[in-house]
Amino acid sequence: MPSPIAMPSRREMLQRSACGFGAMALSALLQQQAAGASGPLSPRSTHFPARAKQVIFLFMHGGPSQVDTFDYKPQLIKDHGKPLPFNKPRVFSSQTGNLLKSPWEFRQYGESGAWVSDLFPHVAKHVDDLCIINGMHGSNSRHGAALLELHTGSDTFVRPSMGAWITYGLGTENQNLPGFITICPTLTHGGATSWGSSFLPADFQGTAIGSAGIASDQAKIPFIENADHLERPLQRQELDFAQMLNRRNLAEAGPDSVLEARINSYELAYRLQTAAPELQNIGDESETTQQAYGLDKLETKNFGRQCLMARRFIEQGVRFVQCTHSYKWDQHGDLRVDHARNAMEVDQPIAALLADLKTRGLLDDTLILWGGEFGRTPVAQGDDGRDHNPQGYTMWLAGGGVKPGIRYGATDEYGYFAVENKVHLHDLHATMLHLLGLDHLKLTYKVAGRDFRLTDVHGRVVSDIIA
Amino acid sequence: MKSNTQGSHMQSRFLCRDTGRGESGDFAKRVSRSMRPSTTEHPLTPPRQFGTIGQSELIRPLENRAVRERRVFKTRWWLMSCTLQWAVVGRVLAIASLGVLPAQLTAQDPEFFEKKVRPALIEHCFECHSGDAQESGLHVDSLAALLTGGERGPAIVPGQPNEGTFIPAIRHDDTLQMPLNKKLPQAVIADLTQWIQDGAHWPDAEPALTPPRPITAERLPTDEDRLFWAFQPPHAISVPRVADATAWARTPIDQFILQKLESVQLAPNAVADKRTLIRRATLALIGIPPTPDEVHAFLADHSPQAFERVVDRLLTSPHYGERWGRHWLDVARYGDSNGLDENLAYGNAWRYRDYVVEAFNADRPYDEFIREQIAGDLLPPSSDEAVQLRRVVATGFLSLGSKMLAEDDPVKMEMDIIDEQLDTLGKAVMGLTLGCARCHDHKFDPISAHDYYALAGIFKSSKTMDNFGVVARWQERPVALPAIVAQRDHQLAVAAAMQAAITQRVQLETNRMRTEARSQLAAYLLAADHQLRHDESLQTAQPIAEDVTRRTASDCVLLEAEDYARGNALKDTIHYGVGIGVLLNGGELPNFTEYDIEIKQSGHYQIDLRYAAAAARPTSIMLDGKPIKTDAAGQVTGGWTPESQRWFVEAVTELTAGKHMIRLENAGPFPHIDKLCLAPATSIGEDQVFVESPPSVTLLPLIVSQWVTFLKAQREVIDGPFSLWWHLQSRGVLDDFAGDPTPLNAMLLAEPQPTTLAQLAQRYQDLVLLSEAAELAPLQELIGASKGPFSLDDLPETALSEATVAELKTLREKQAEVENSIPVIAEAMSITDGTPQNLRVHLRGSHTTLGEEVARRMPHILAQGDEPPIDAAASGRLQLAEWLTRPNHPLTARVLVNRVWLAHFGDGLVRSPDNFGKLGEAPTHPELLDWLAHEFVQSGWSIKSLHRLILNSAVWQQSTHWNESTAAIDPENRWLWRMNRRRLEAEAIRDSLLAIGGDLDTAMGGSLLPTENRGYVTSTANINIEVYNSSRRTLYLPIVRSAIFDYLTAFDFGDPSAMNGQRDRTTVAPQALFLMNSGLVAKESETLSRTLLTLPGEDTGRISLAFERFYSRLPTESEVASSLEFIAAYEKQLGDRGTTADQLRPMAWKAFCRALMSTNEFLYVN
Repeated sequence: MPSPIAMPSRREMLQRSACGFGAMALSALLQQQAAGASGPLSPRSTHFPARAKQVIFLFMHGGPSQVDTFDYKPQLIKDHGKPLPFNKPRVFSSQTGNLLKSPWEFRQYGESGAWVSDLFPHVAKHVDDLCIINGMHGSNSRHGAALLELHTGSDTFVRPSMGAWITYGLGTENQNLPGFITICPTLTHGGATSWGSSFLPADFQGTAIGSAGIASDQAKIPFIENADHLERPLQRQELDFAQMLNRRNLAEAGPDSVLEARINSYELAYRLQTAAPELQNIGDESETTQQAYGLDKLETKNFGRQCLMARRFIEQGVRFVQCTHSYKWDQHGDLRVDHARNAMEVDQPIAALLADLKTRGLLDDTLILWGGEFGRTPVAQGDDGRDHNPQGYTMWLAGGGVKPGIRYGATDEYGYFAVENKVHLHDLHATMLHLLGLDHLKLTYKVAGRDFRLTDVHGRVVSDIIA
Repeated sequence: MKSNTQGSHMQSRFLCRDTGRGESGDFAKRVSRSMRPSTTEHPLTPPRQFGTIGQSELIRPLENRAVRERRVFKTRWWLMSCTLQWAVVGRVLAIASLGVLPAQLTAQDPEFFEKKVRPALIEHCFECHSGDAQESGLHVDSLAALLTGGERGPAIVPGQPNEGTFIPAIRHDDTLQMPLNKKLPQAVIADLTQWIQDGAHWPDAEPALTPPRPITAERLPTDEDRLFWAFQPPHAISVPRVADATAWARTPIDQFILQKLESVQLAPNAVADKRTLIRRATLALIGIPPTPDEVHAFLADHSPQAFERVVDRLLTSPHYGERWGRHWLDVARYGDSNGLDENLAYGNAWRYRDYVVEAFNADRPYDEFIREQIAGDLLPPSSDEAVQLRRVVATGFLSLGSKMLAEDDPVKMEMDIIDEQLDTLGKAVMGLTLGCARCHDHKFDPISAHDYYALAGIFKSSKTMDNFGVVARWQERPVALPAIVAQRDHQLAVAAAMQAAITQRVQLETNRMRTEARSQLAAYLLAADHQLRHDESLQTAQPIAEDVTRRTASDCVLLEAEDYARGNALKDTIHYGVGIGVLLNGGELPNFTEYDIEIKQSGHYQIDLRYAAAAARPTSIMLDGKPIKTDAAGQVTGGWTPESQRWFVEAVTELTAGKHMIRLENAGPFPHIDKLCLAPATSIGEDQVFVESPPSVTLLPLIVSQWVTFLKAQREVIDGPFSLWWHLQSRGVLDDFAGDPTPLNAMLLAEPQPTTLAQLAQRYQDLVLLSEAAELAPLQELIGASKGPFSLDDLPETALSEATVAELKTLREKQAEVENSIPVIAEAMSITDGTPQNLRVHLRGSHTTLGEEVARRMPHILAQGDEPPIDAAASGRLQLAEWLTRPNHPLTARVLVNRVWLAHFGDGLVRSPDNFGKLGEAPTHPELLDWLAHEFVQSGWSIKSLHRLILNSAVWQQSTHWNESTAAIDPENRWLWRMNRRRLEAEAIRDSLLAIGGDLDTAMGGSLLPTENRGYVTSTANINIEVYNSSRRTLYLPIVRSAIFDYLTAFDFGDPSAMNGQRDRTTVAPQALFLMNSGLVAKESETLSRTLLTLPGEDTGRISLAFERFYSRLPTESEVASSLEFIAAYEKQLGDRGTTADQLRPMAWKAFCRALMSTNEFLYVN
C-alpha cells in the first residue's frame, strides 16, 4: 500500500533548503522536484487525520512516585511495614525493605472521582481532563537508560528523540521558529541525546533554550544574541553586503539549490533573532496570568515560566515543546520533604497551563504528557525513600484527542508491577504518534541498511485511550 | 529520488521483527487462527496420551457457568479444538464449587494441578500456545511440550522455577512478558511457581525424558549469496581503453570514468583554474585554505609537476594527519566520554586520537593500522619501544565506544558493549551491518546469528572492562615498558605498606579509645539518658530568640555566628544576602567555631540557633569542653539561602555566672548558621530536664550520640537487656519491676539492688567489664557490635590524641614523599585477552534465552576456507585482525578506498560507505573500485599513495562548472561529469576562520578536557564552555558525548556515539546564527581587520588581500567597488548613531571581515 505521506529520501533531505522558497523556485529549473516540494521543516500531511497538532511534554526528571501521586493503593496502607508478598524484579537498582505507605492522603476529585494525593491539589482539580495511565512500564531501572528509552525508544543505543521524529514527520508550522524546543533540559543522563536527531538530519534536532541549572528567565537559544551587541540596522547592513556577494556567487556558480538555501537560512536566522526573544519575553502577559502560573512565588516561578513559555511556543505553531523539572524527583531518601517540595514547584504551574490551554481552545489539539523516566517502588529504601521502578508507574496525558477523565491500566495491589492494560513506553510512543496522525510503523528512516522507527520493532497503539 | 511507495510497502521486510516484549502482531489474526480446529500436529506436539484423557471423553456438554460467561470465540474454540483436558477441568471445577476440595493441597496432588494449574494454563496461555497455535514454537498443553519448549529453549525445568522461560515470562522479569499486556494475579503466579518447584507433576503424564533441546538450524550461505559482488575478492582489472583518452584522461582512474561518461554520451568538465585547484587541494588535505603566498608560489610554478609538488608538500604537512585522522575518528566514533548515562570522562581517549593523527602522518600501512587497533596487544613483540607503546593505545579503538555504565543487569551491559564493538568493527572495516544479526539471522545479507555469536565470542573472550558494576569501569593499561611498570608497581607497594601502617596506627589508637570508652560505660549511659530526656523536653520548647523583646532582655546573649573568637569556618556576608553574615561550609574540616561568653546570672539557659539548610548537617555543641548536644542544627529548613533561616531550640543547660566557652563542631561542613542565642530558660520546667546531672567526665560526642540512638531503640525491645533501665527511668523505682526475670535482669538486680539510675548504670558497667558470665552474652554482643554504641568507625581523625595526630602527620609526610617519587605512567583505554570462551546464540538477542553454542570463527560468507581455527586458549582477535587484512579480503581494501574517494568527491563510488551489503548501494564504477582496491594493496596499503593517485587525476581536477544539458541527464552527478561543490565540515570552517583571522594555534596533540579521567563530565549545572574558546584546531576540542559543543552540533558533526562514514550537510538557521553572532566570528573578524588596517597602501589592496585569504582569488573591480561602498556606508551609519570618529574605520572594517565570513564562497569548496 502506498504511503500517503511523502517522505523525502536522506539525500534529498540534505540537499533541500531549510527554508523553502529558494529550493522551490530552483526545483522547477532542475526539473527534478515534484510540485509542492519544499524544505524539510515545511508542514507535511499526516498518514491519517490528526487528533493533536502539537505536544507539550512536562518531564519530571528523577522519577516521581506513582503511589504517592496518582496511583492510590489502599492495600499498601493496610500492609505498611510488612514484607512484599511476592518477588521483587530480577534486576533492580538498590536494596529495598518492606512496604511503605504513602505519607500523603489521597482524595477523590471531579466527576471522574479519580484519586489524587495531596501532593497535587491544583492538578487534581483538572482530573476530568486527564487520562491517567496507571499501567506504564519501561525496561530499565537506571536513570540514564530510562531517560533514553523515554525520549528515544532505545535504552541501549543513541537514536533520534521523539521530538525529532515528530518534527521529521510533521514539519513545523512557523518557519521563523524551530519546530522542536526543549526548555532548560537536563544535561545529565543522556543529555543532548534526549533532544538530538541522531541519524536524522540536523534539521530535526531540538533547540535547547538554556539548560538545567539555568533559571528559566535566563535561558537563551545558542548564538541568538550578537557577541558584539550589534544594533539591528548595522547587522542588517552587514548582512545585505554578504548576501549581495552570495547572490553574485550563486549567479556564477550556476543553479545550486544548496547555495540558494543558505542565502535563505540567513534571512530565517535574522528573523529568529527577533522572534524567539520576543516570544520568551512574557512581559505582555497579564498579571493575572503570571500569577496563575505562579511567577510571583519563589517556589513556582521557575517551572511556571517554563509552562508559560510552552504555551506561547505552542500558540506560535512550534510542534514539540518539552519543559523539564530537572533531576529533582529521585527520592532514595527524604521522600517526605523532597517530594512535597517538588510537587509544590510544579503543581500550580501545570494546573495553570491546563486551564490556560483550555480557555484558549488550544487543549483540543495540544497533547500534554506528564511523567518521569520511571516510577518508584512501593517498598522502602531506608525509612523515608523509594527506589527506581520501571515495572509499573504512572504517566498522564491530557488534550490532543485522548479520552478525558479516565484512568487506564493498573498496577498490582501495592503499585509495584503494571498488571492490567499495561502500556510500555513503546506503546506510549506509538499512541502519541497516532494522535498526531502518524502511523508509527510507517514513520521510518533508512540508515545503515535498514529502516528505523521510534518504536524500533515494538509499539502498539493504545486505542482504548483515544477519544 | 527513491520511491516512497517502495519504502512503505517494503516496510515489513525492512524492519526487524518483534524481539518478544512488544506486541506488533495482530490480535484478530491470532483469534481467528485459534478458532480453527487443530488439524495438523506440530512435530514437537507430543503424543496425545501425555496427560490427557481418552478420545471418547472428548466432547461433553460444558455446564460450568464461568465458561458461559467467557467470550464466545473462546467457547467455540474450546469446542472445536477439543482440548481433551477441558473435560477434566470442568469436572474438577464442579467439584471445587461444591467445596469438596481438601483444605490443604500440595502441588504434587493431582487436584492441585487440576484446580490451579490447568485452568490457569487454559485461561491465560492456550489461545496462543496450544493446538494449532504455537507462538514462538511453544506449546503448553502437555508436560512434554513444556519441557521441550519453543524457540527460546525449554519452558520449564521441574524443581527449578527460575530456569526455563515460563516463570520468568509470567513474572515479567525480562523483555519476554506473558500474557501480553497483562500480568497474571500474584496468586496464580505463586501457584504455577510452586507447581514447578514441586516437580511439575502432570497427572497421567508419562515420566518425561528430558527432551532434546530444539535446534535452531544455522542458515548457511547459498551459492547465490556468494555471487554478490561485495563478497567476492576484488578482481584484477585491466584499465579500459577510451576513445578520448589522450585529450582529457591523465591517469587510469580517468579512463574508467571516461568510459562510463562516453557510454552515456556525456563529456566531463575541463581542469579547473590553478587558484581553484590549490584551494581545493589544500582544504582537502590539511583542512585550512592556502595562504596568499602559497597561492602565488603555485601560480609562479609553470612546470608540469607544479600541482604534484603542491600535493606532496601538503601530504608532508603535520596538518594532514589532523585533517585525515579526523575522517577516521568519525569512523571510529571517537568521543571523550561514555555518553548515554552517567557520562564519565574518557580522560585518556585523546591518546588514541593522537595515535590516529600520527598514523596518518606516518602513512602507516592501512593493514598494519587495522591490525594494531584490533589486536595491538597480541601482535608479535617489536624491539622498537615506540611501536610497542602505540599498540597499547591503538586497541582503544575497540574500547572508546559509548557505553551504558550504569546498568543494573551486568550481563546485558557486557553483551551491549560487545555488540557496540562488533557493530562498529563490521561497518568501519568491512562495510557490513553485522549488528543486524544480533537478534536473528541478518534479513538481507548472508550473515547468520551464528556468525554473529561466533564473532561476539571473540570479544567475549577479550577484556574491555575491569568490571560491570554500577558505575562500571573500563580497562586502562600503562603506556610504558614493562620494566618501568614494574618499578612503579614496586613503589606503589611501598606506599601501600605505609598506608597500612597508618591505618594500623589509627586502629591501635581507636582500639585504645574504645577500651577507655567502655570503661566509662556508666557515664555514657547516663549522658545518653540525659540527652534523650533533654531532647524530648525540648520538643515543646519555643525558641526565645524569635521574640525580639525577650531576646533583647538583659540576660540574653545574642551572637552573630560569624563573629567567632576562634574557628575555621568560612564567613559569608555577600552571597547569602548582603550584610547577613552566615557560616559557610568549606575550608578545613572538621568545621569548628568557638565563642567566649559571659553569663550574668546563674541558672538554666536555653540555647537557640538560627540557620538555613537544604540538607541535614547535625553539629555538636560543646559547653566548656563538654558535649551538651550532638545533633544540633540538624534540621532541613528548605534551602541554603536566608529566606530559609529559622530559629530552633537546641539545648537547655545550667550555667553559672561568669565566663564560658561555647564550641560548635562538625566533622563535615556546617549548615549555614546565622545566629546563636543563650536565654534564660522559661518554657521548660527544671524538673523536666535535670532529673540527674550529666556526668562530669569528658566524653566523646560521637559515642554519646550513638548511645542515644541505641538506647532509644532499646526502649522498644520488650524484655531486652535495657528493659530494666527503661523501667527505672520511667517509674523511678525498681521494686515494682514485673518484667521477665531474665538471667541478666537477675544479675542487674542482685544485692545491693540499685535504686538510682547512676547505680544501675554502674551495675551495667561492672557486669560488662568484669564478668564473663554466659548470661551476659546478648548484652555484650549488643554493645560490642561493629555498628554498636561504642563504634568508632565515624570518628574524625582530629579527635584522636594529640600525639597520635602528630605521629600520623609524620607518617603521611613520609608516605607522600614516596608517592611523589612514583613515576607517573600514562594509561590508555586498551583491551587485552580475557577468558577464552564460546558464546551461545542469544535467541532474539536476549541473554535470558540462549540457544546453541557457537565456536569462534569468521563469518561463513567471507571466510575463504583456509583460515586456521581459533586457538582454544586465545580470544581469536589476532586471527580476526590478520584475516581482515589479508590482501584478498573482499571488503577491507574496497571499503577504505571508497572512504577516501568519498572524502575527495563528496560521495563514494559506493554511495553507502558503511554498508556494502545488499541494502547498500551498488558501486557506480565497480571496475574502478576494484582497480583502486587492488592498486591500494599493491602500494603497501599506502593511503598517501592513494591520495596522489586521485588528486592527480583529471576527474578530481575538473571544474564544478554547471552544464544544463548534462545536468538534465545526470542531475546527481553519478558519472562525475563535474566536480561536486561542497560545504566545508565543522572543523574546516572553524579552523579556517582561525587561520584567516590569524589566531590559529598550531600546537599538536594532548588533551583539552578539563575533567579528570573517569570524572563526571557533565553536571546538571554546567559544561565548561571556556575550553571551546581555545584557538587550537577543532580536532582537539573535547567531544563530550551527550553534550556536544553547540557549534559542532549545528554544523553536522553528527552523533559520536555511532560510527558515521558520511556526515550530513544540512543548511539550518543555527549555522547562520553562529556566523552572524558568535564570539569566535567577532574575534576573528576583529583580528583580521586590525591586520588589514596596519598594512601600508590603499584600501583596494586591503580588500584584495581579504579576498585572497578567504577565497584564494582576487576580487573583481566591481567587488572592490561594492566593498568600498559598503565600508563607507557602514561608517556613515555608525557616525549617524554617534560612534566616535576614531572608531568608525576599525568597526567598519571589522563588519566587512565578518560579512566575508558569512559568504558561501568561503564556506564552500569549488
